[in-house]
Amino acid sequence: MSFLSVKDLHVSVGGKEILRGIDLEIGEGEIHAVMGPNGSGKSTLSYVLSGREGYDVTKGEVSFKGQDVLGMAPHERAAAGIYLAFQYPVEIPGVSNLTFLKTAVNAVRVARGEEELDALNFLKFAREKGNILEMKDELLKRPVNVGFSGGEKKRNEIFQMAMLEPTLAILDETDSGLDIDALRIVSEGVNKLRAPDRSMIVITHYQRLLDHIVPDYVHVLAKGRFVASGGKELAHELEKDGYAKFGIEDDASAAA
Amino acid sequence: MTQNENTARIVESFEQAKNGLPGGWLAGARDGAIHNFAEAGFPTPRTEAWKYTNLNRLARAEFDPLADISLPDLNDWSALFVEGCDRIVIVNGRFDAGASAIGDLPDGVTVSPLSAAVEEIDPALEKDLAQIAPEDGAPLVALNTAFMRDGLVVRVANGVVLPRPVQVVHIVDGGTAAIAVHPRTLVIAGENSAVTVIETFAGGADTSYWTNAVSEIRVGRNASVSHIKRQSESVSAYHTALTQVRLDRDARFSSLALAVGALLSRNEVNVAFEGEGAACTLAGGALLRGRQHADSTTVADHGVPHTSSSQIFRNVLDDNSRSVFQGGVIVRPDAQKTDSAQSNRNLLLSAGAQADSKPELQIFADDVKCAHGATVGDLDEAAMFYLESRGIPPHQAKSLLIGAFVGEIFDGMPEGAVRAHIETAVADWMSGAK
Repeated sequence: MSFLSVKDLHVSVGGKEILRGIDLEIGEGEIHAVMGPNGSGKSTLSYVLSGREGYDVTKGEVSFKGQDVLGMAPHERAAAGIYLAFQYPVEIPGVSNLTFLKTAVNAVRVARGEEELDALNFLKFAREKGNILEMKDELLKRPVNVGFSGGEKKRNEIFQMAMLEPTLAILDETDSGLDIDALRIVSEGVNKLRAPDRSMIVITHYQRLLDHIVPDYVHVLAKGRFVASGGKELAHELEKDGYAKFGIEDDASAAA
Repeated sequence: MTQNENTARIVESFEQAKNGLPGGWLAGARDGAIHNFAEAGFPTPRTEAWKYTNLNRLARAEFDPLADISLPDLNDWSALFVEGCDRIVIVNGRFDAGASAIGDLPDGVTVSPLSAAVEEIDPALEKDLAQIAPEDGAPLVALNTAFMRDGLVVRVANGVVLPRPVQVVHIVDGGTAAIAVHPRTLVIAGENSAVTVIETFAGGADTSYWTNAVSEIRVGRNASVSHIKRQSESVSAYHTALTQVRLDRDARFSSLALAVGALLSRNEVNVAFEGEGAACTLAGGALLRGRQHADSTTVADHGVPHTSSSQIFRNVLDDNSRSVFQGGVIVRPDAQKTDSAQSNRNLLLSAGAQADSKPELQIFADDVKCAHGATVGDLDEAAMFYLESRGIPPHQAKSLLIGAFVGEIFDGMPEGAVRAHIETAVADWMSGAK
């Protein structure tokens, strides 16, 4: 049975059609990479799956573990197990990372019919998960993403993923802006979170990330449609030949 | 009623009330004050300082300082008592000995209800009471002087650091007669002393009333005064208040004033820098809904060199509520090296809400730093989505963001009962309770 099923998904933003018929079937535990040039609709796909306002689904359906995703509010999708690691994590001054995470973890636990964690157990849990991402205690106390370096922000995204234990994680350009050391820490973190019951969509512009997080399938997105799908070797073809092979012009030179 | 008739009615009620007011030695000051009030009348929007806050309905409402209302059950209000404080409770304008609690105080410290303090002739009191806050251009201060009956007097001798904060709790409750109360606080902090004073205002939802408060604070050389005010009046009440502060050399003053109550409120804080090296921090704001109106007006009056002031004000406005911030900074010709900064941000949660922000900088010296900034905006959509995408339901996400926004005014305040007193007011507002 398909874990996530996207059928003929059309999405408009501000009246402009960005996704023009996406079909995607993801099985339990599978990792799918979505690659494509700037403006191909990669981020739109991640936002529409996680429920951001302003992304109008004009046609198609999305089901996750048999549930209709499009009818759910963002927090309900999170409780159902969908997690988006943001390309640009949002800074929230005045709310400490710990308060934020405790509120989130407990909201999700309550929605999943589990008991809330008390302060002590939460802290234990946070430390344990923090170690996976080499998160310093100091980062937990600081306001959410405020004053974080690019690498710290992305690490924080994966740390939150570890805390919320999703069954579908969408990583939106988690690699962009990272130097090689930060990339290593982040992708090692992701790999530690691989599990038989956890699927992932890894959205990226660069093949580099897929050397670290090896996908089961690769899809090439261009102008709102998948133009090619295949195994992990497809990423290497892209690396070698660029998007031009698929009739796509990419100003930003994807093979960088 | 016309403005004149409103004023005449109040003068007449003063004639009836004056023999029953405490402190015979104050009779002359009271007579002079009611005269000043009668001359000036209620402030109107024609005066620049009152441009955005109209007292017309208040003036017409015929609030009466002599209205007799029954005593409320204080158990309903004990949640307002901050643990670990010396406490004076004023109920319907009068000292309530039963609810008040004053522990052992160090030598040279007075914590007393005003009504008791003014019964003794005390040259030190004469020097300061109704002397720190000028009546010129402040008719409501004059009105308070005429009618002041009770409140708080705190005096701290040189070099004494008060071990506990002092709280004065003003409660108006227990009847439907339209009562006016005119409480007065006087704080005199001697050289090298330190004291924290909390003023809490609250009232019953069914009671129609007007609180017109004046606080006078003198901070001696190198002394430190922290002034915390929680205004949780009934949402049908009126609240006007002026705090006048005078800072001697190297004195430090910080104020935090949060308003969640009253239909209409005005909180004015004026700080006069009278000695070099003095510094103040003025923080405040309001959380409003319905048709509430809250005005925060400040003046940092730098009269001498090497002083600094910072002002931070945050307002959160829902429904059709309205906030006003008038942030005054005066740098007089001698006040070189003044360092002042001011920030006012307003969060609008509804299309019907309105925030007026008016920085008012008058600078007559050239070697000074004066920064200011103001913003009006709504909840950050990106931040809301970020929180919700982590499983936090929208109402909780909103509370987190509002809490963080308004929390900037008490950022850095140590954890404890005093901070909790303010945080509770914020939390109660968020849950829609009193």
